[in-house]
Amino acid sequence: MQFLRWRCLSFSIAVIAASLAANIACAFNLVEVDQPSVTVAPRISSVGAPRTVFANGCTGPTVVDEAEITSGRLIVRINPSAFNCAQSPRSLTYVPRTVGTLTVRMMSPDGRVVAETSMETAAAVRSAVNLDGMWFDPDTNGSGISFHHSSGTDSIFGTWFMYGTAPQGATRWYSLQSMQWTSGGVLVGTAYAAAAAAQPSCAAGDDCPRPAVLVGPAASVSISVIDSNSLRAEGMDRYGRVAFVSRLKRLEF
Amino acid sequence: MAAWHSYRASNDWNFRAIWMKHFSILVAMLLILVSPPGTAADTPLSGAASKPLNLVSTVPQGVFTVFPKVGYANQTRSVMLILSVSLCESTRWRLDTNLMLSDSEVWVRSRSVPELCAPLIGGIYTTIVQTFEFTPTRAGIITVFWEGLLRPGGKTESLTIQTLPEKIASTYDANGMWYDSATNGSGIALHHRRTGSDAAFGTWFMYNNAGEPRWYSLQSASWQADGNVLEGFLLGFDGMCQTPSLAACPARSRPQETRVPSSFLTFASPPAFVRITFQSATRARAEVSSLDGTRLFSSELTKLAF
Repeated sequence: MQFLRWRCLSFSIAVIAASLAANIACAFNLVEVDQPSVTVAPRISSVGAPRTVFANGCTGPTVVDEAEITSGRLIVRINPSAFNCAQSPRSLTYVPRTVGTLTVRMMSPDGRVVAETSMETAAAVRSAVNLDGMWFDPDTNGSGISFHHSSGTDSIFGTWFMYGTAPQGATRWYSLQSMQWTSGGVLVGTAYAAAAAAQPSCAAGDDCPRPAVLVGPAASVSISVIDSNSLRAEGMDRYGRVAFVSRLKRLEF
Repeated sequence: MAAWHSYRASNDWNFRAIWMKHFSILVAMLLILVSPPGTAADTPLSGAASKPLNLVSTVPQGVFTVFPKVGYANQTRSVMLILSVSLCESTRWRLDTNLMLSDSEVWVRSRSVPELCAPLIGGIYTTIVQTFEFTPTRAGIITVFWEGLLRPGGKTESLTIQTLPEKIASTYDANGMWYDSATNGSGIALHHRRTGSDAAFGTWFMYNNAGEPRWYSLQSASWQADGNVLEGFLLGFDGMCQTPSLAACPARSRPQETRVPSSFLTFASPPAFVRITFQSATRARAEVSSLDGTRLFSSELTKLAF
């Protein structure tokens, strides 16, 4: 497994999550919500790109029993016995094969809709602009996105480095993965948060490279290409609400 | 002033903080004075108290260094003094403006003005990094002296630096994401323009001892040795995400320096040295140490293929 190659890891997050502390879903969300929800990461992608469907909620049902396509909807059934934060969030993987919008419903065994979202699937599109480089918003100078973009495979990895609110002022980074181009020059994907185990600690100092033990989706990301040196980046919460916008410029050096 | 050096000066502002010529993303432009509103997003991971800048947790006393020690003509060098001083003193330390430059020597005299300093605030110390720059214009050897009046006994220290006639070109294209399989989930994103300016900088993504993600910026990097070694500083920052409903957001970095008479003082954890030795286009070893030479960590890096 390689650095930040978390696509595979995120698909197996259900296994990982089972061994982790409660509330971890809350820890990864840019916008904190306590309500049961179902999220898809990435919410928008291309045909054949695996999606991870998460059943979230610190106060809601969190165990996925099964999923099925019914009447054009992806139905995620949950186990009502797990109805508190002590249960870890669970997930399943779904690979769309057709273009379009698919409703995703999380339902209780008695047929009650607990939460709902959708995933969008587009035909695969190649990039029009190579994003490889460092991008920053002059209004939030000191934050930015590092993109590495393979001109061969057209794959894109990014890291959005910013600042957290708890503790206030601390640096915080999110890995941009599962990035897919959609029509109209829009790059969509997921911002994943990662955490390391508390032990073993750094040999010297308080910060050091360490293995990640947990990776989870924190936000959906949409990058619109204005021109080869200008981007508009949006970070969205699990409900698709825009949490922040950055008007990015490519750093020339 | 000797022809050996061009010395940056602007009025009385003889000293500049380490600055980011190749990385304007992280240039802080505005001092944020207003504290943000309370945050609604208190995550389980955020419960652990931690300082935002703590790559080097042990503050060295009175470290004196010059970076880079081997450079090329017209490459700016930074003379850095890392001091741990009381909060009272921290706003009043300054370097003597009587900096001396000659063909073969640079003298830095540092002193304080204790008469302006109120009684010490009981045992509270902070770290300051005081930096100035000079630019050798010719090849040769220069001895840099620090007449450390701040140090017990007024000890004088010296370092020699070498200036090569020409800039060293990189051997490999380092552009890409690098990771150590032993610390998978951390890594460094390097941006390198080998076919152009040959400039390189990067961002190192790692974690603190509480497991929280932290990043540091690799700056002031230059190619050394045969072009297979990249040396630079690893700098930490903090910033204000002022959106209370968010756990994190893009924000301006806060300046960690202040102007006092005759110098810039940087209030931050000291920067760390980074030395990345490339064995091939896809393999490298990174070593990170504090300014006093203490090894912080090392990584056996592989370039991510994708």
